[in-house]
Amino acid sequence: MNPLFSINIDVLFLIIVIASMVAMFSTEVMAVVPMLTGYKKPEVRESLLKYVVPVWEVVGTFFVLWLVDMENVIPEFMPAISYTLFPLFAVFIFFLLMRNSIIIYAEFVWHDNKYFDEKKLYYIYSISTFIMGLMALSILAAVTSGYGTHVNLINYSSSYTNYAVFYSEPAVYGLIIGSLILFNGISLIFYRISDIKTVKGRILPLILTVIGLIIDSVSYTVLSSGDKVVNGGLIIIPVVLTLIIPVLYMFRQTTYIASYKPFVIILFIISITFLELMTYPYVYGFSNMKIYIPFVITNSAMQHLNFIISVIGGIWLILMMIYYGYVSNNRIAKLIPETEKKPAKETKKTN
Amino acid sequence: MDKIKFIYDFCISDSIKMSISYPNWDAAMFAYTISAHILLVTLSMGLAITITIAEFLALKKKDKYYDALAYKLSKALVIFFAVGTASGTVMAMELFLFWPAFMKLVGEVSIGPFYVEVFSFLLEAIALPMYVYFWKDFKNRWEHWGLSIAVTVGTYLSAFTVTEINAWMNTPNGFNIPHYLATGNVTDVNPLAPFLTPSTAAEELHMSGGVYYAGMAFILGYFIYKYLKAKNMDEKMIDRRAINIASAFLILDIIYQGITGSVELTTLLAIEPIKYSAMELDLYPVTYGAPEHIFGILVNHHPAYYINLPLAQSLLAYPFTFGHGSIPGLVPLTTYHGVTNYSVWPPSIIHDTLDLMVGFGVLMGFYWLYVVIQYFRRKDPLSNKKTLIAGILFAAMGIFTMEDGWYTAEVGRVPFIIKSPVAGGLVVNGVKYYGTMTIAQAASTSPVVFPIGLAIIFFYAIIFPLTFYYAGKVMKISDTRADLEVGGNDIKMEEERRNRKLNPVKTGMR
Repeated sequence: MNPLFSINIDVLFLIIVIASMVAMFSTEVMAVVPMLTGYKKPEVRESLLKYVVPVWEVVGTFFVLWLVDMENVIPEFMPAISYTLFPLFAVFIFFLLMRNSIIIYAEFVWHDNKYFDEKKLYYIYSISTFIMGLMALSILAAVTSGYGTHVNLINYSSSYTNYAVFYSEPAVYGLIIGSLILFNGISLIFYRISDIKTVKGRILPLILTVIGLIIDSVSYTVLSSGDKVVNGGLIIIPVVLTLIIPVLYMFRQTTYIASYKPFVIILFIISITFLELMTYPYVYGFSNMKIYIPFVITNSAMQHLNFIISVIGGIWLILMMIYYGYVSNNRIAKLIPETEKKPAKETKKTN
Repeated sequence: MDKIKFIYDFCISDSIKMSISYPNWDAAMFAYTISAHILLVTLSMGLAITITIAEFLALKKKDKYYDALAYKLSKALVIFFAVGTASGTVMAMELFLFWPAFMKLVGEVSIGPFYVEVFSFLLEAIALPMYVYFWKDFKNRWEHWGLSIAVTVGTYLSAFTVTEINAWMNTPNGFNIPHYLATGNVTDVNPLAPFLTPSTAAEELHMSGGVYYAGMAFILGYFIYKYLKAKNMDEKMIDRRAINIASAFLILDIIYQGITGSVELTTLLAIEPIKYSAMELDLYPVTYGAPEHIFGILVNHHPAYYINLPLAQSLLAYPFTFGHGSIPGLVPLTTYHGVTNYSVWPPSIIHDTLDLMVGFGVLMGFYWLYVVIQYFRRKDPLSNKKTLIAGILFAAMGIFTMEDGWYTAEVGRVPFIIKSPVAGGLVVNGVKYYGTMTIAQAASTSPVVFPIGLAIIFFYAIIFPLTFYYAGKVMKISDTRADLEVGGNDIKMEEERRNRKLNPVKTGMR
């Protein structure tokens, strides 16, 4: 029987939490290149900061939700994950802290400082977020593939990853580079940086997205091949869903849908969910021992409690996010795209 | 990896590695991390509730200074929240790395409160950006104020649920503990039980008052300092309102802490007698006339160098029976088959830290009593420079006392990370167990924890002073005139909304 038909509901919730976290964080990574290259342009800056400044806190909280939900669902596996991936997590957390501090300083403190101004601080924020992105993609590649990883579920502290082996695998670089290209393609749409009035502006996001998708698909397939993938065909879903965004953006009538932020985030969440489901029920495929998720899942009593808390908490979370969307609607998520402002007619004659 | 190992071996000599006791190292590192983290937490909780009160008073009294205060403080709250998030993530990682066996058991039995905590945290995380970043977008100011309540509730629930786990560590339940002790297997799990253990109520009550006291003390100390330094009248008005809020809160809280502290000690006496006896330096049980030992140490397992207050302990523990009641003793509690197991005695330092906590609590109580008396004598004590300077000292004392109290509670559990579910320990297969899991059993003994610990020391040593510097800087450069303008606009906006509501424009009517 296909393992997806018997997937535990808590595991499914965890997968959706991971997908939400990755999707939300991706939107920040998408802002990196535009911020570094286009910060001087007021319209680019405004578009980026309107979204990034309130959302960075929510993204940070998703990291904590993910950590605790992992402990909830697969407690037996968590110490091994910690030991195998500690260096990557350590760098990630260091730059998380850096990013949090810098964005606050940029916003509230240093506006006209002699050495640091907002621009420089947002550059540092971008670089920190970029490094976090690299670490996150490395973690994804490591968990999916298990290259260079030695897992011990009895004596946790003897688990480790040989990073020389891990980083010698071309597919790891493929996933990182492909994702970065893909993010940059989507970012042109998400932040509405690409001018739809020009052919280049319409086509460029699509080209970048297609290149990114090709590299990503191949790399991810290689990385997950050790997981005895039985649902490899599911990769078509994220590919199609991701392609929808630049295709919709090309047409004037549908541009606003493509750049509607909740729409993009939801498509991302669904896509990443299917990427994860593709490798289920295994992770760490190329390590010394494949981890069979149902084997490390928590006891049935705890699963019941997790289910109840997840349902109540999940509904609560969705309601809060809807309210967040409602409040921020006039700032970051306009349904109708900004139209060209025509020069106002002079109604009064100056004397 | 080999290169890293080589550098690690090269930098850290074998003698250092061999001399490290990893459980002690893990415990020290975690104590260091939490003691830093709870400062961020207490301050965040204090800020959240101050903001809620200030904005409420602003809207109720139509006072723009209160509104400006809430606006100013909300920026500081964002800073502490941001650093707290990163610090919390570090701690979560640390739990897995330093305490793998403990976290495995938590995951199997008592992760429920942690899971609820995350949703509380999310409530705070989603409400806070809306509150701060969309401040000016709310036409209905009461709706905006509602978000501050969400932030306050979120911060409080986070602390509440984490304390539930702590209570579970003191009085574990929710699984078959004798079977676990005998076989190491977890069975008969009841995941709801850890939400309410025998020690939960008393711990929660005392924790709530303690963290809010410390958080408010931070705020009081800071605003007194600012008030004394400020030249601008508007700034003084804002500072004075903050001092008023914090003082009123702290006066009520110190009374509350006295009551809940007493409840906590009485609960300990009944359900954690070993910890209680160590805290009071009681070696042998009595039914009447137990003295209070003020300070002192154990020399060869006997108290020395203490000041004796006859009868005091019995009277405090049993005020309604005039001191008649059972007071436990360490020796019989830890003696089994005629052999006393001194290794399960908590470190005697907790007796001194308890005395410090109580002593400082009493001193702070006297300070606030003086303030209240002066207030009723219409002397306006909070305008008196000497009273205010004393207020800064007592604020610092409040923060120290919270840390001290936490230290007493945690070190009182040593050498166990999870204590026995039965007061005085339980016997399984003829063996007496005083705890369910020792620190040594829970800790990681991997050499990797040493460099990780060093990284954590470095992390907090850098980030902690920076965070407070940031927050101070943000508050300092906050433009009072601009803040007051925001406050004035908010009050005006709310009044206009109310007027519109009271006098709706009926279109179509003449």
